[in-house]
Amino acid sequence: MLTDWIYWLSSIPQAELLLWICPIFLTDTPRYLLGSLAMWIVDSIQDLKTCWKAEASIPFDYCPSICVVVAGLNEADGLERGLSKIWGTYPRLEIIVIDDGSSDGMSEVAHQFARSHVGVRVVTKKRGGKSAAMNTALPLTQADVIVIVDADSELTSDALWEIVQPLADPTVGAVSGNVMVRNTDRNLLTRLQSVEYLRSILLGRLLSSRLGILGIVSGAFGAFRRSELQRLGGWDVGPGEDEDIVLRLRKVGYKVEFAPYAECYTDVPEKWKGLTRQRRRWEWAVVTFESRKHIDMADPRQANFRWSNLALFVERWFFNLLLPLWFWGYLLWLFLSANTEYLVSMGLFYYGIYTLMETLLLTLVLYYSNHKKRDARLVWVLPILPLYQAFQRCVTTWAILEEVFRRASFSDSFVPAHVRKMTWRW
Amino acid sequence: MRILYLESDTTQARKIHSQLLAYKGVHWELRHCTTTNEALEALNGDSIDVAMVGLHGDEEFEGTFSHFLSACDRIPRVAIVDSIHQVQGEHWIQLGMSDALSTKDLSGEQLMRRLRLAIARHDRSLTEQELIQYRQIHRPILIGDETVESPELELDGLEMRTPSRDQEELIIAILKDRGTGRLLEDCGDEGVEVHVFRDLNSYLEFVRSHPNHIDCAIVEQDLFEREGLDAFRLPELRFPGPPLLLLTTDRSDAGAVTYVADCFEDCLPVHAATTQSLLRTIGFALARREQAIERLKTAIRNAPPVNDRRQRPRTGADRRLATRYMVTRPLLAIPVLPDGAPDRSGIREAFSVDFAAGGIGFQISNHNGIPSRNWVVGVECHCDDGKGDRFHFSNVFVRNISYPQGGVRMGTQFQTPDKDILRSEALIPVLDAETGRFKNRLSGRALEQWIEIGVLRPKILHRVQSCPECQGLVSNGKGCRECGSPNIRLHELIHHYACAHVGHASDFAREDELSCPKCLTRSLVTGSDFEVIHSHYACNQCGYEGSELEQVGTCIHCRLRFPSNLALEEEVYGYDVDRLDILALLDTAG
Repeated sequence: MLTDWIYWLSSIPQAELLLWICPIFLTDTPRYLLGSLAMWIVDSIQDLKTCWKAEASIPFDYCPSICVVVAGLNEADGLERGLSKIWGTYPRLEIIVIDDGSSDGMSEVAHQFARSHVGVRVVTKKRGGKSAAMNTALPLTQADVIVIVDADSELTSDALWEIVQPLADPTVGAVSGNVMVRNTDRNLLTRLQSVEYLRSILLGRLLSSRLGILGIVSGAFGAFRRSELQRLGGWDVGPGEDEDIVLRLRKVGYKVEFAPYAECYTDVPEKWKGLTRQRRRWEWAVVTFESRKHIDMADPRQANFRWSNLALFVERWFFNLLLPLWFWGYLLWLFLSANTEYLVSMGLFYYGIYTLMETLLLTLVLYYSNHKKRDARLVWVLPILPLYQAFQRCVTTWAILEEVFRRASFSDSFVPAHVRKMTWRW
Repeated sequence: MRILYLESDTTQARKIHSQLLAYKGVHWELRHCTTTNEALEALNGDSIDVAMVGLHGDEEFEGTFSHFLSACDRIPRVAIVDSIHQVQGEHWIQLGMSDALSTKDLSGEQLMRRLRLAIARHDRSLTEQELIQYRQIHRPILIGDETVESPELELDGLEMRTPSRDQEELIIAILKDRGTGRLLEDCGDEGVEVHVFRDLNSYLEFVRSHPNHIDCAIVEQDLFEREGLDAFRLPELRFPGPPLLLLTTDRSDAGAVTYVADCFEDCLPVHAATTQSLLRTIGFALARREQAIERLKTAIRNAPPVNDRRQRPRTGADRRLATRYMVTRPLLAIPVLPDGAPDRSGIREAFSVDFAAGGIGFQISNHNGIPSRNWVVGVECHCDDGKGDRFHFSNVFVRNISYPQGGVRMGTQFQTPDKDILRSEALIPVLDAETGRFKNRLSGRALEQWIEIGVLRPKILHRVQSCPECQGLVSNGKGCRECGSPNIRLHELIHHYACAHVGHASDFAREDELSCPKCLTRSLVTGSDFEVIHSHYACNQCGYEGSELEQVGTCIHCRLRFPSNLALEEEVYGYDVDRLDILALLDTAG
């Protein structure tokens, strides 16, 4: 039978074979599917072993001192709720709130909270960008671990415990928390993003972490070894500073881990415009950092070269740079070479394939998720997800092109103008 | 002395000039003009003290000199005639001449004496001064009276008999000099009635009982010198009063000029007094007085309205120089006890006797003793705030007390600022360094009593924070959250824009410049390269480090430190009083 398959495949013309294989990579789904499936198989076996041997769950036995840095701009509304979710959830905890030049009274809200809660400090400064705001906390603390949390995010009760555990390994320099969508049920867009977060963060980062190629720690929730942060001089000017700091840590030899149960809920954009803006910023980073600033990490001649870093770069280049361009090239080729009738039937076929793959991914997500029932309710948006992915491909392509040709990240208002004009352009 | 002599007859002029040459008393200068135009030109160019006009008949006077006389109104004019008849002389005087002299038997010394007396008389009878004097005596200003009096009303007081014109009996009072009286009685003129008085009091009694009766009074020099000038300016004499003639034994011109400058119309040397000269002098004096009254009437008619503020004294000093305003108004008189409290049992409704810029005279009903010389007086004044009339108060000091029938009259002056209990500064509490609290000058009991009787009104001046322990005033400031100490040290961080590095300022210091320890950029410039962040503070006293300073209150008395929100809130009261503005009151009155 195998021989028959081989014969069949070899009998297919090369162009036709390309026509059938290429659509598989038009979306991000295969990026996570195969690896996650393999990971699931391994984990399932491991789980069965654990059940068989009745091993006790791993306790939280690592308890370094933590400094939670909450930096924000005009985040007065959700700040108190966010702080109250953090305060008291960890024994060796201090909180530093950095008001980065807010005009909505964020500083007053923070001071109000600090007056009634021990261990909370507030620094008010002129707007200097998120990197500077987070760096402000570095000279003010002697804690072992710096945990950064977005001012509008909420941590679960044991999130801090979860996120510091990987740091027990001294080779781990940073840990990424699991960022989840808080406003899932707001509209279709937020539901689509919710599925996307589950797939790309929960599964994607878990897989990357296992493979040792995790190259990002969410700015919304992440933990860093303070000593190394200070040694590196803290975050560089953004946007994309969260990815940049991870690459710099990896460059000096540290590993980056993912803590899937260090959960942090945050609000995602509820409008297409906001989403597009956010994703453009994210996608600029692959050009700015992986292709320009830290390109030396992929150079085997460098003294600090590591294969995992190269694998990370290759993975990023392939999925974030090449495939978006592949997407447009394939579509162009398809329209020029194939007839309309064939296109429709093939499109419907692959739409079904994508939906099937997404369903499979969601099933894997449910295996790892702590909120299976809630996440299962998102199944009805799966048929729409391929279209959403196509939209994401468009945004990614736009972002790559504008960063490559225009260095758009250096004119973005994410960083204030007086800082922007003084920083270096990579 | 510059003399203008308008004389068409040059011979006559030369004669007068030669007579004057014999006079050596004062330095003089004669300017002779033969025509009116020439004389007017001389008047405009030179400073002329007196004008002599040579007259040779009424027609000439009317035709030639009337224009000249009206043009030189500011200087005395003396008619020089060949021979003089009393009636004609009086006529010329009534037409505007100061005197009429005959060149016959007139020496240069006598001529000069008459000229000097004319100048002295003219200087004394300046119309404006007369007008003011008249008003002061005859028309007390009623405060608050809005009636504008017409000139006709004012002129009533100026009516005076003109016996020479009306052919009525001439009534002459002789003060003391019996010989002169006999001289007039013996003149055989039935139109003259002479009353001789031995002293001034009997004369004044006669004047009071027969007001406006005496036409002329002749006073002996001794009596005048004994009684003084003021004795002859009494209100009873009614302004302008009868002309006064002085019988003098002093032959010097200087003495005569002084007397005339004081109040006399003329001086008659006793040794040269004859019936004819006496009657002529009296006639001329009456004619001059009649002319002066006419001039005064004209001035009153032409004077600006009495309520024209431009004509009134503008300063307090001016008002004090003027007399008091005799006005009767209801008052509230409150004696002040030594502790500053009102003597409530001594409060009296009173009425004012007079007002002046310096004080108030008022009269209260019979009082069993005056408890204090320190009084608060309330005068009912109209207020523009729509609340009608109400009392305005002032603190006065009693200078003199008299006891007219049925009451006690007190002349007061306003208290000096350091003693005035109602001045605004005294009604505002001041910080007492000893207790650290606000304290009023008057005791609380006294203030309450002043409020109860309606003189003071309390108002909240401040809402201050006070110490919860001793109620002393609290000084607020930022301090350490732990111990309240203001002795804190602010930590400064530097944010380098280019690499986003944030570190202690000391980490950036390198030799004489600032250098980023992360990216090693040197010579950083504040503002363009980096900013300074005040991150937190450290208390130098207790070592506490925090991000937010506490609002700390410190008692200025007991030095207790505590969070400001624990301070007591206290209202500090000041007091309002409707102050009597005497100058505004006098201004309103006109």
